[in-house]
Amino acid sequence: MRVAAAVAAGTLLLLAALAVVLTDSKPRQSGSNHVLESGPVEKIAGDGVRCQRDTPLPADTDRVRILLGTNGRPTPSVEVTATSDGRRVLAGSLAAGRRQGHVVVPLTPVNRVDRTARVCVRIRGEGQTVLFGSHGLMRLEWLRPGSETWLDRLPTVARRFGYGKANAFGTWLLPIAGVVLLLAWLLAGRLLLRELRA
Amino acid sequence: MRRIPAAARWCALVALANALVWSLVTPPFHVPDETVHVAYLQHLAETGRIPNKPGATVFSAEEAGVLDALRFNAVVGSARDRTVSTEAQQRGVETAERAVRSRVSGGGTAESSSQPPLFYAYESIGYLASPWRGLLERVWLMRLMSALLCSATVLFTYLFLRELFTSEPWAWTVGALAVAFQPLFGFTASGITPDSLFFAASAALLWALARAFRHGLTPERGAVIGAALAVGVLTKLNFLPLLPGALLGIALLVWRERRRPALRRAMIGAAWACGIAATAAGVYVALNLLVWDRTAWGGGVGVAARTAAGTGSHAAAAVTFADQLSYTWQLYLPRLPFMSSEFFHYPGWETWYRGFIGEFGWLDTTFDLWVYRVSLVVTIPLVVLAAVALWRRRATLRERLPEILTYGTLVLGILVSIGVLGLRYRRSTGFEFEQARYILPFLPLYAAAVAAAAIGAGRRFARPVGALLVTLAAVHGLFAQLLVISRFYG
Repeated sequence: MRVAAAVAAGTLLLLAALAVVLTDSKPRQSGSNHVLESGPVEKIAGDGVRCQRDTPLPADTDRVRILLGTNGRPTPSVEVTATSDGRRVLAGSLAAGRRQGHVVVPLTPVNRVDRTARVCVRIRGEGQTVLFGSHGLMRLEWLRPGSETWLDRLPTVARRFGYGKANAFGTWLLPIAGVVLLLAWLLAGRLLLRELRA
Repeated sequence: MRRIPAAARWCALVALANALVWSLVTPPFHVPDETVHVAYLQHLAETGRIPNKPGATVFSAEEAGVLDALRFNAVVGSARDRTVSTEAQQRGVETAERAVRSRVSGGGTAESSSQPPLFYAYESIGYLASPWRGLLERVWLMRLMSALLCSATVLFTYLFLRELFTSEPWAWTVGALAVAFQPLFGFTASGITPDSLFFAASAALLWALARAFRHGLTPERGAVIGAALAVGVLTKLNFLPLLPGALLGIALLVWRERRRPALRRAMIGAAWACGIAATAAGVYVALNLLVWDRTAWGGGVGVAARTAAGTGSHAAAAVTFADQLSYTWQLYLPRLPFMSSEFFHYPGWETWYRGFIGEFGWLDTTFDLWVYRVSLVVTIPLVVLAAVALWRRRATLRERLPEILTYGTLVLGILVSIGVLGLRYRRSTGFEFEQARYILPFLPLYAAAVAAAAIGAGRRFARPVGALLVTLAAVHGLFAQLLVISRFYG
């Protein structure tokens, strides 16, 4: 009886912790250009623009996060545009006056399709602005609309979970893994109840 | 198999299922050094030869193409970057898999190529038997074979506990399940890494020694000890530091019988143990020298570390005994006032504790700091309860002193070897060598600590506490898997 109570207590703890984690709402990433923020890649004095070609642009994007350094001054205004096959597919801007560091520029998506694009970041302001990245490329981190919980994200996570590995089950691979884990728990629970019986 | 208790088989099945989940959760190649282990075994499986061409390409064209398509180099070490996340990227992976590229164009030396071939030969069976030809399918099949080794580790852990806690059968299940759900173990050992077989061989060695200490050393038990030693030596050179402890154990087992009629039987057992291990080592050395054109031991971890760092074989600065002592001490214990500081942090916390609680991927996937702190709420009482159990059984411990001395020497062997290799690696590369997975060969002792903690709760609460500890281990394992899922697919 006491063993069953202990298993039940542990299971309740698990469910409570799961509820907290899965319902935690935050801005989530739709993708990035896989560039590390290991150092400055461009120093723009006053106004200037930095463009990068062949940048992966996930379909489910409505903001981009970039790292700006301004030596402590307020950030300049930032405009971001993305063009693909000569057409503008994303555009947005952020007014000046933020604290230096990571800034999030809201974007207006034109066409929701995964693509690669030429992305330009235009800086309008005074003083020097530093863009960060590595190997001569600035880091661009794309964010999904709004704020989401992991429960909201489950279909996306399930789809991505199925990518990049041997998988005959598509988006069902994640639920299948969940079922296997559940079976392991049930088996362990049954073992505990049987073996630890007084 | 009939002599193995049903509960042990069920524990092994739980471990297999959990490792199977880990094999799906961790993206291909994101277990430490999995890239070079796959390169080694692909070369072995395709050509029958060990990769041993200095300066040649390490990866086959096929593996290099798949790694590129997976954006492996852009994702590894960068916790804010996901693996394949769009359909376009997935199409690129499928194209890379379908492309006809050479599987035998690798063969260059890497950090894994100085290692013995047993694990790679074992995994080659999966590689060659695979009904699929794509590398990613083969990687998963080989991970499945590693998962089988996870279950073997848990099985030996159960059997080890059976020899240790003879009057508490329930504690065997508690300890074995705690290991089955331990996330660093599940993550590491379900990958393609010789650690999987290393952990199984170490667990088998501990069980074989415990069995001989409990029932006496016989030719049969000696042969089992020898077999565990042989498998370990042929799996990973990091197993070699276990040899002094094993030899001490065997010597103590013989010494214990010095005035008994069983002395002759024990001596034959010792001869079997040493003979099998020495034969395996001898064959390995002969193959290295005569067939594979390598040094007697194939180079060793020190060479592997230097290969990884791209430095010469004598790049490490001279190390004095005092340096070594100071470094090894600080690796595990607080620095003493007269020692110069070897670390910017305290490895006892940063490397060993936090690593054991959970650092995944190529050490690029960690919990938030508060998780490690909160985990102390469980760990500290667990340690106290285990200490209470040991204190209550101090009379038994005294009786089993030779056995405890043997386990202590086994542990010391590994800890010292990590210090020796770590200092040289640090001197020649500037990077840290130590990782918590290096202490996983002692998972059976961790299981014993968990079981002892439950016993330490007293007769009334021992079993519920044991059940609670296993449940917490399962919760810990689940959140580690969720962490990895959020990092790579979130």
